[in-house]
Amino acid sequence: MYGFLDALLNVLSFDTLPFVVGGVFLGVLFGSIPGLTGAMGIALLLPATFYMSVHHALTLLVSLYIAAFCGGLVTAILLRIPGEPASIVTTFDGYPMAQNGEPGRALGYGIGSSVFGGVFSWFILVTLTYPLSEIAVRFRPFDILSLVLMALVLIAALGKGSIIKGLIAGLLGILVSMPGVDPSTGQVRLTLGFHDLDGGFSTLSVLIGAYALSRVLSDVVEIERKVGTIIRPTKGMWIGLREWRAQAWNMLRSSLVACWIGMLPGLGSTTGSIVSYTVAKTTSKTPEKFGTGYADGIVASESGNSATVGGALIPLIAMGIPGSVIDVFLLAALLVHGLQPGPLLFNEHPEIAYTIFAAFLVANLVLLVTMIFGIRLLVKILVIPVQYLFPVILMFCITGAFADNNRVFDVFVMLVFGLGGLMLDKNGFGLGAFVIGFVLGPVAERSLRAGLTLSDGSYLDIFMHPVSAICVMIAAATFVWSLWSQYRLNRQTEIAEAAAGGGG
Amino acid sequence: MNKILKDVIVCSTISLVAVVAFWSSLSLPPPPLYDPLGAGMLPRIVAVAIICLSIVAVAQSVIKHYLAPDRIRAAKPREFVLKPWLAVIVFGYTVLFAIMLLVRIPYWASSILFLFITMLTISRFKRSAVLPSAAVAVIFGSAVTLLFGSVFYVDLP
Repeated sequence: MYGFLDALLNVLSFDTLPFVVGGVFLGVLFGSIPGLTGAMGIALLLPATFYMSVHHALTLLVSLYIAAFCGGLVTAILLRIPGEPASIVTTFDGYPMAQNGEPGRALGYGIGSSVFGGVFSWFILVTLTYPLSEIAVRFRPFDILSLVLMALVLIAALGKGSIIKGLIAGLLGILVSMPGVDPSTGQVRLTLGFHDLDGGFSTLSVLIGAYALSRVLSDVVEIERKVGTIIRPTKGMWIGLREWRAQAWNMLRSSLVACWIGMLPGLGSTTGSIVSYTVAKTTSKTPEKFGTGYADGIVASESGNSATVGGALIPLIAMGIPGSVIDVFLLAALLVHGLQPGPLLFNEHPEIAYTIFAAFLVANLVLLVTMIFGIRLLVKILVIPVQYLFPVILMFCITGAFADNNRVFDVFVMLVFGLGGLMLDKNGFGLGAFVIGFVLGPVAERSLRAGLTLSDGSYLDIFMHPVSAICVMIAAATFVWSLWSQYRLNRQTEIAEAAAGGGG
Repeated sequence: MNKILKDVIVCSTISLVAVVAFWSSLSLPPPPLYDPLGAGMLPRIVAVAIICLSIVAVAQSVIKHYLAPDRIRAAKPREFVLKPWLAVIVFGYTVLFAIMLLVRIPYWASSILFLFITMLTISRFKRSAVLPSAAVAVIFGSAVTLLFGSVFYVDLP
């Protein structure tokens, strides 16, 4: 308790509060501008955080993370373009409500429920993280290995494209994490004679290339895409207490569902908002109203996608397993500052965990104020011409990659992974799985080798303990279910097309 | 481009990376007594898994395409024209920027030049874009040079 209060006072101090405000501002900007995402923002900011203290760095990045989802709802409602992938469900009801002449009301519901979801998940985060880390300290190497494998299979199954392609991307990420010095034997491996690779590929260069550069190149290809006319909110953002009371159960249920989904490694906020929306629709007395500009739809979607943020931070802090792809960047930030995320983080550096908790709470409150008073300015910023925006982002990509180790080699690595990321993304190979494989590959390898050493080379030990056995079974079941779902979908498509062809 | 051909190219590229990793791991010494796997075994396992899954992915793509030969997939018409060559040119500019860093051309000059030429290219060399591009390039090039050079003490050329 005192640790958290200490961290809260630190975050609210004149020294740190600007980082919260700056992070929220940047997060809303990255989340709302079409073509940019919160993940890209964090990737680009990571190099800048080298020169900050770890507290300032985490405060900035966590604030950006939270604010990006709220920023995404703005374009989702006003333009029908989700600023963040997780805001796609908000377009179902947000844009129709805006078209019906109530853009302000749609924004009001979105912002309020987004902040509620964030604060609710903060409560779950501070309640569950410490007990979970105490349990995770007792995890054996095979338990950690099976958790990583489960995260990889889950994200491969839920990404776009088939699970086979997702697994290929994940395994490729693991393979790419291997060049360098072997942690166990000290042997230099897979460097192909390049001494610059003795330390492995720079995490930052890979993440910036795969996420930021590839995204910009993809957007340049689609540069002729018409953004559409922005519906400008003029009034009506304030929602009355009675209307909020009517949405209370919806917000609570959506936040709870999404928070639990966020805790499952690899699922992320898009899944959280989709499931929350689906649950709200199926349990509603008026499901036919969903998709027509119905407030319940906006509330379910936005409280869902924000609530996954806190849920996803729980496995990151407690076990060192990122709950979503964006958490991979937070994990990278901890590694860059010399901290080892995992169960011992709470014991060895509790102030880091408390800083994240405090920054999370304060950022949600700052976000509420920013969105209420800054929405009109934000709408103006949305129309920044891309011919000025994209080159600036590219410059940050190159400079950020160079700043990591002051080596041009890292810039070329970033360029190669940028092309690679574009190739993977455009052909249905999940970038999320690749990034998770890359960051968690060393963890998986260490755990596998330690586990085999302890079990005298026996793999059967994985099935002898409940945690590892359950995780492996979930991974196997997800793999089979995904293949079966894909087969059923193909069959249904064939039958439908055959019927249409026969009728024609 | 045909979907099968795309999948074959991508899977072949990924498999090539896996083959190179496998071949490189063959030169590693055998595992020590205390480590059942050693430095080389896991790269080989992962490389083989990638190659096997790549074959499955290509087979899936081929089976999906040829099981329904009468099915004609009408592509949804796009509302806009794709500009892949623009992306290639922009990528070329980023490579040139990296080369300028390599040969130690002063960062402020290379960044301003990169920004200006990229903005102008994306604007399709419209005359009306020249001055704004120059202004934005100078402002951002100088600002980032100051930020990373003087505030973050990065050793920029």
